[in-house]
Amino acid sequence: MARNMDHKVLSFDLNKCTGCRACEIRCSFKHFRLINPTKSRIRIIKFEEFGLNVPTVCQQCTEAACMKVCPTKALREDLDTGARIIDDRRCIGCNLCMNICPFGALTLTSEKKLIKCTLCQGDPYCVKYCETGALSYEKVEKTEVEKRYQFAKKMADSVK
Amino acid sequence: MFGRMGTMVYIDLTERRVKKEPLPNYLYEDYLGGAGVNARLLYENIPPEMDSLDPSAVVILGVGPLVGTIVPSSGRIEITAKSPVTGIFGDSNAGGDFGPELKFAGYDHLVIRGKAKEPVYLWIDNDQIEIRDARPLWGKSTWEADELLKKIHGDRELKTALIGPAAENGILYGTVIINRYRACGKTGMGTVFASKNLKGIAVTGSKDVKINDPEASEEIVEKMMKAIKSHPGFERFAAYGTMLIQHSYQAHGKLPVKNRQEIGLPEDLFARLSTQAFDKVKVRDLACFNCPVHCSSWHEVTEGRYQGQKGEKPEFVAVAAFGTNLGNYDMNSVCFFQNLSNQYGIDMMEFGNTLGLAMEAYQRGLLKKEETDGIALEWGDQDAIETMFFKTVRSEGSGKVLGEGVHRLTKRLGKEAEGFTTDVKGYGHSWGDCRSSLLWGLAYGTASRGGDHLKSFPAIDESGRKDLALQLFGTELAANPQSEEAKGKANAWFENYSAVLDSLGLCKFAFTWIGLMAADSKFPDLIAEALTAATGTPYDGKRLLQCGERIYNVEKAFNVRCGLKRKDDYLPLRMLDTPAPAGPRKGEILRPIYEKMLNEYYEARGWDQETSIPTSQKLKELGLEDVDQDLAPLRKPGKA
Repeated sequence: MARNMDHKVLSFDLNKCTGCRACEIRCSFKHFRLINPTKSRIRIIKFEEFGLNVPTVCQQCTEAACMKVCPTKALREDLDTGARIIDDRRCIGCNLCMNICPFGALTLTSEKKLIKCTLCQGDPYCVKYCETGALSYEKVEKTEVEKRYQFAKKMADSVK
Repeated sequence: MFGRMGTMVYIDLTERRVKKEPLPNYLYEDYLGGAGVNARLLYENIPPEMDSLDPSAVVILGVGPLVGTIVPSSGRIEITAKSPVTGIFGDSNAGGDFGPELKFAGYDHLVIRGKAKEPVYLWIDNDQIEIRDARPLWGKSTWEADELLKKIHGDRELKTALIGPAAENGILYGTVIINRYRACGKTGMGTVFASKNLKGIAVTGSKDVKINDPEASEEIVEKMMKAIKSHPGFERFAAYGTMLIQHSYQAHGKLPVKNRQEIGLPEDLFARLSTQAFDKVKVRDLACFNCPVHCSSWHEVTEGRYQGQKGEKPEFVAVAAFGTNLGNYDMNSVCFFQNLSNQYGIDMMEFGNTLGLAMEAYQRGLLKKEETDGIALEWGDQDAIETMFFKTVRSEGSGKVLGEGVHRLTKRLGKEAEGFTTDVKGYGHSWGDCRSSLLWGLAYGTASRGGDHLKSFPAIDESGRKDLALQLFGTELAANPQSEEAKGKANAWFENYSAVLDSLGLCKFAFTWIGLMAADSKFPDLIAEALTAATGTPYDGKRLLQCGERIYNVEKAFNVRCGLKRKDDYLPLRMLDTPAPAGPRKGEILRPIYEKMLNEYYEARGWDQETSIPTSQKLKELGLEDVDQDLAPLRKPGKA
C-alpha cells in the first residue's frame, strides 16, 4: 500500500518544542470543549532532565496496524486527509488497536472512550496554536526541507 | 463547577488525616482563588502570636480559576504561610506544570498543618491522597527526589513540588521547587515544609477543567494573545526572558554591583553577563505550561571551570545574586549557581543579598576571617562564593549565619551594618537600585512580603506608556521613573493588579511586563472577561481590581497584627540617605521624595498616615468588617 503523496502529515522539530503543551490544551478543548491533557490526542513527553520535549501523536501509518487488527473494521481512512479515524458506532472497545500501536497514539479517556488524532479534517488545531512552529502540517516530501536548510545553515555559519 | 474544581483539602500531618471540603462561595467570589484565597485562609488560621514554624501553623497551596485553561501563561501555583525569615505574611509563586496538574487531580487548594513524625510526602492521584514515607527522599536534591518519585510511582508524567537539602538542614529561606527548575523562591516556604517533615508533593490527575462558555473564552484568548504578541519587544522577551533586565538596568542606572556600593558596570565587564554571553550557553527555548512567551531556555556550559553544567534558565535574579552583586562577572558561574540553587532549594536573591552584605562587611573590616571559617570574602572570588554557598546549604560553620538571611546578619554585625544592609521587613530587597527608579523603590518598601518587586511589579515606568499612565493615574508623569508624581497611586494600583494575577494564576511577565504594556491591550477588563467566560460569575475590570485591593488589605492586616507600622514600609538607609553613586539621579538623596510618595500611597490606599493601619472606612468598603474589628484594638485611641 503506497502513501497518497497529496496528503499532509503532522511533523515536528524537537529543537523548537518548548514543552508548553498548548497543543494538548487546544486538542482537548477543540474536541471536548474542556481542558484535560489526558484527553488530548497529541501528548508532549517532557524529558526535563535534559531539556527536551517530544511530541507524540498518531503517524497515520500507511500500513496501519490499528486498522489491520480491528475486528469490526471500526477504523477507516478519511480519504480527504488520509487520517485513520475511529467509527464509534462500530467500535466494540476491545482496545486491540491501542495494544498494537507502536507509538501509544491511541488513548482511552477516563470515560473509556477511545480517541486518536483525526487531523481535524485537514486543519489541525495543535499546529494552529503551536507558538514556535515546532509542529507543522505539510506534505510528506516537504517535512524535512526546513530541517535540512537549518542544518545546512548551521554548517555554513560555522565556516563562513 | 466551571473554572475551579470546587474542592479544597485539609491535611493534618500530625493526625495523618485528609479531609476534603467544598470551596466556600465567599472565598472564591471575594478572593478569586490562588494567592487571594490563600491569603484569606492564612489570616483566618494563623493567630498573630503563632510562630511560623509551630507545628500547628498552616502552609497553603492554591491554584487560581484560570490555571489549566486556554488562557495563556496560566500555570502558576501559589504557596502561602507565615514566613520563618520575616515572621510576617509570606507567599511565593511559581510557574511550571505542577499547578495545572493539581487542578487536573481535582483540587483548588491544599491546607497543610501539623508535623509528621518521620519525613513524608503527599501522593495525589486524582481522588486518592496519601501521606507516604519520604525517608528515602530526605537529604536528596530536588532533582534526585523528582527522579526517584517518578521511578517509585512508575509515572514519568507526575509533577512535583519539593524541598531540597537546604531547608532540611535548617536554612530559613528554603524554597519549594516545582519540577526541577521553577521555584516558589521567596520567604522560606520550603523551610515551613521542612518544619513539618514534609519533603513535598507529587501529583498526577486526569480530570476535566470545565469552561462555562468555551466560545467566548476562545474569542477572549485570541484577543489576549494578539495583545501579548503585539508588544514590540515580544521576540526579544521570548528569546531572552528576564536576561533582558540586566541590559535595562545597565542602561538606566539600576544594576546593583558589590552589594550596591556601585551602580552599573564598565562595558567589558558587563559583556560577560550580557545576552551575548548567554548566547554561548543557550541551547533552545523552553516554556511553562501553556505559555507563548517561553522566557526559559536550556543551557549547556561547554568550557571553563563550570564546563558540563546543564539546566533551565538562568534568570536575571541569578545574574544579580551570584554575578554583579558579588562582583563575579561570569555567565557560566551564574548557570552553575542557578542549578545548585534549584537542586538544594535556596532563594537565590536572599542568598545573594546576604553574602553581598557579608562581603561588604568583610571589606569594611566588620567581619574577620575568624568569623568566616578562615575564608577571605573577596569580591568575585569564585572559590569563596562556592565555599560559602555549600556551607550555607549544609548549615555548616559560618554558613549557618548566612542561612538566616539579611536581617539577622545585619543585627549580628551591629549598627554600622544598618548603613549598607538591604533589609526591608526582614528580607533583602530586590535588585533594581531604587534611587534611580522611584516607583520601584516605593514598591520594595510597601511589599507585604518584604522588600519585594513582584507584589507590585509596576512596569509602567520602564514601558514609556505615557498614555496608559494618563488613563490610569491622571498624569503622564506616572510613567516617568524620575518623577515622584502619582507614584503612590500607581503603586497601590499595581499591587492590586498583581494580587489579581497571582490569584487567577497568571504570569506577570506575560500579563504585566508584556501584555499590559502592549498598546491597546485592554487589560484588566480582558482578564475579567476571561474569568467570566471560565467561571460563569460576572466580573468586570473594576470588580477584579477591588478583589485585588481586598486581598492586599488582608495581607496588610496580617502584618499589622504582627506589629508592623509605618516605619516598616521604609527602604534601608543606603537607599534613602546615601546619594546615588551613578545613574540618572546621581548625587541625589531619596528620603524626602520617598516620604512624599509613601504619604500619597497611604492616601491612595485609605490607610492611616501615622500608623499605616487600614482605616475602618476602607475595610468596611471592602466588606472586611471582621478584619476591621480585629484591627480596632491596634489603632490609636480616637482613630477610625
